[in-house]
Amino acid sequence: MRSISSYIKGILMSEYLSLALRIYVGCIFIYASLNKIPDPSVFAENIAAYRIIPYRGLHLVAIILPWIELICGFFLILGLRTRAAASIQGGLLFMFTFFVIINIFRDSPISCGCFDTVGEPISWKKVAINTIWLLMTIQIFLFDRIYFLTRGGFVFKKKVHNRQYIDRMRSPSFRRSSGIPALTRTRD
Amino acid sequence: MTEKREIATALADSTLSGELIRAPAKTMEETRLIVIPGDWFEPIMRKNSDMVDSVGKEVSLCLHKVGSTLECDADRQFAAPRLTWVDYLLIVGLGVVCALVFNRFNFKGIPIVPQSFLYEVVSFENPSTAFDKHKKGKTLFVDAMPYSFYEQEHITGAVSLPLAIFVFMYDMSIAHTDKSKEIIVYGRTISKRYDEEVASKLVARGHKNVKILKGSLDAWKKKNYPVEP
Repeated sequence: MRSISSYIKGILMSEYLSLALRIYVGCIFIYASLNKIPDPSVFAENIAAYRIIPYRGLHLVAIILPWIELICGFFLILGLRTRAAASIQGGLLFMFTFFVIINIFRDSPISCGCFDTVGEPISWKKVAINTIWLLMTIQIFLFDRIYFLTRGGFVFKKKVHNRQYIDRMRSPSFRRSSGIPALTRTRD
Repeated sequence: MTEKREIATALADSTLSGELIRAPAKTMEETRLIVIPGDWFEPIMRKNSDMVDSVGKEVSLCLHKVGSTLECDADRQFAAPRLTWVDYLLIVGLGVVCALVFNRFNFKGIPIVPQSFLYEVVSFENPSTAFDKHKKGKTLFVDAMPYSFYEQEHITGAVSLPLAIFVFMYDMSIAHTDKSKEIIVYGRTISKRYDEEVASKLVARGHKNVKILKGSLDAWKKKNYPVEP
């Protein structure tokens, strides 16, 4: 009988949970971007209130950032390049959270500007929500396996050697020559 | 021979993890750990071949199980899609192209680099000179920052003229002021030059003596000049 911790671990590492989170996070980012794309000047004002992005780059960020959010959102929902999309989303969330924390310490009287022009004031609650979304993107990055149009392949170079070794061990000719019985595969 | 190969293969399987494998051991009777030199080992093995066989089988089975688990884990990991810089380039590149094209044809589009309004503004004013004028009370101080920042802190007696609602606030507060009266505008951050934009709008409305406070509110506060509330 499986313990509760292994059951929870199984759920957290599940590719089906990744699929659900992909759709959820994707929808959030698409919704957020759709409010920013039509009027970049308003979004630029919101970013300017944070007093972090330099003056010269402010407009460029205000123009490009919502589109990257939109494309990442679509990619996550459709299952295209999900690991890259999730890591970009995660990076953006980390950046937003960092900016919010800085301005909380500065005691800035600004709104978040995350979803609409007025928005809720920045607070630790916003930081907590962003952190949860960040964890969701990490889950997607690590465990997402339901995807389309991928080239397939390996994750880390180090593990390529393991894979090659296992393939060799699996090959019937090697097993026959070595007199090794077939490996029984056990999945939990 | 087969058994030996099996053990060797299983040991190789176990090394896949790259970590030391530990297992609990139990003895049936009181036992003492002794160190056997290499040349003693072979005769002992020969004498106790049955025991060696059974231990070998046990170890072999155990290691095969570890190998199978590793294999499954490896399957799980290797099924992940490959992650390369091409993916990032694709997403960011697509985003940049779409953003620039859309901004070009969007009637609410903004310039990629913020425009400078300085050419319309007369000059900058040092905080110390500005403070002298503030004391005389003949100069109008205008806070160009968003209203929430004005509410939090502003130069004593300054009027709020935020950029976002400039027309409304201008009509409310200084539309009827003498056009030749000196106005000092402040409000500049690393991200936005509110002062320049408001000053240029004031100049455009016919105010002849508009200046910008050098260093904005920070420079003013550094010299301990009066702020409120």
